[in-house]
Amino acid sequence: MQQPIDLKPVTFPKTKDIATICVYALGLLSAGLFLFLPVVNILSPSPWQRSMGVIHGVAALLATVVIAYAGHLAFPLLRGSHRILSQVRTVIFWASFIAFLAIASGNWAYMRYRAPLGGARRWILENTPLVHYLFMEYHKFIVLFTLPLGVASAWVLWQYGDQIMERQHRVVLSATCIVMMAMMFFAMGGFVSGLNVARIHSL
Amino acid sequence: MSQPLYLKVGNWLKQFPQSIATGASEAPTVSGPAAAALLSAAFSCFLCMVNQHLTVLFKGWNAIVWSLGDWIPGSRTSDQVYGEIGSYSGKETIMLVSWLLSWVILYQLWKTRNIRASSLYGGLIFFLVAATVMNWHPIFPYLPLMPH
Repeated sequence: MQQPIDLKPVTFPKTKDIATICVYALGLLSAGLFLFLPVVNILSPSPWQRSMGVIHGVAALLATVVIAYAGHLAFPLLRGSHRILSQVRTVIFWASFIAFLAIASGNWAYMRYRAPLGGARRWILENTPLVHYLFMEYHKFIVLFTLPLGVASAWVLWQYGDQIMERQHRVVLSATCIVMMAMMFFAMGGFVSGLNVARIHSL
Repeated sequence: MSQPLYLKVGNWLKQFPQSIATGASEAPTVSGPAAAALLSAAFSCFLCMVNQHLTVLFKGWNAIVWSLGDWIPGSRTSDQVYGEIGSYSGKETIMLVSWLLSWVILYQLWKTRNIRASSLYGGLIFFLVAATVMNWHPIFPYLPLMPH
């Protein structure tokens, strides 16, 4: 009779260990590099960009990453994976909290964006108004959507507990997954549009 | 075999805070509470954009909306360099109030009821799509729009 694979003696354990460490290390390094994106604002000649730009940039990038992680958990959730339920509940909770921080820091940065003296808004409207009408108008509202959608899905996932996987709650589970993905969609749109505006004119 | 540090930290984060990770002890038996939470969130997005168009069309309403947002720090300042949030603070306030108020009302109405799937999906899709489309005003108030 053939033995199960996991009972066979492992011939090269170190090779697997080295590969695991390499995969995790590269993953962490890649994530770290990506999160480094808004830190370049420290080198901006504008003092507003060095303060507001860095803080809002870091908050927005963190929010986008955590919300995207939460959004992707909607796929196994839809397939009925019980195993990830506790993780989904905490991740969507933290995603909502970080979304709030990104919005609050965005309010602060928006003040300087609208400033009559040297603000980005005036320059953009005079030189390339589509950036304001297409991207900034979209940006400032779409990011607000992430907060109620995140809080609502976090509340539903917490309130219905593990029973959300039961057949009678199939509609609730599906609707929550839609809202989680919508939150990710709005976070992505908000991040890209905000980055585009910042690229045209700093604070 | 003990786990490496990054896995320990990652697994701990996924379960923190524990009270949220475990979920509530008693779950509702109907879909009403969930429908109230999800639809009120989507409705607030929709109402936020309807209000945005009203503020563009009616300057008087814009002034009222701005006054509603005075509680947010930075809503109104006289600093020409630092700037101010402007009526956007009032638009955020209206969205916040409409979200929480509609949640409370819908929860009271639906807490013992089952909501039809088509109503829930239809409401969610309508509110979210309409809110997204309304981000762009049909008539831009400034022409020409291309870079100078």
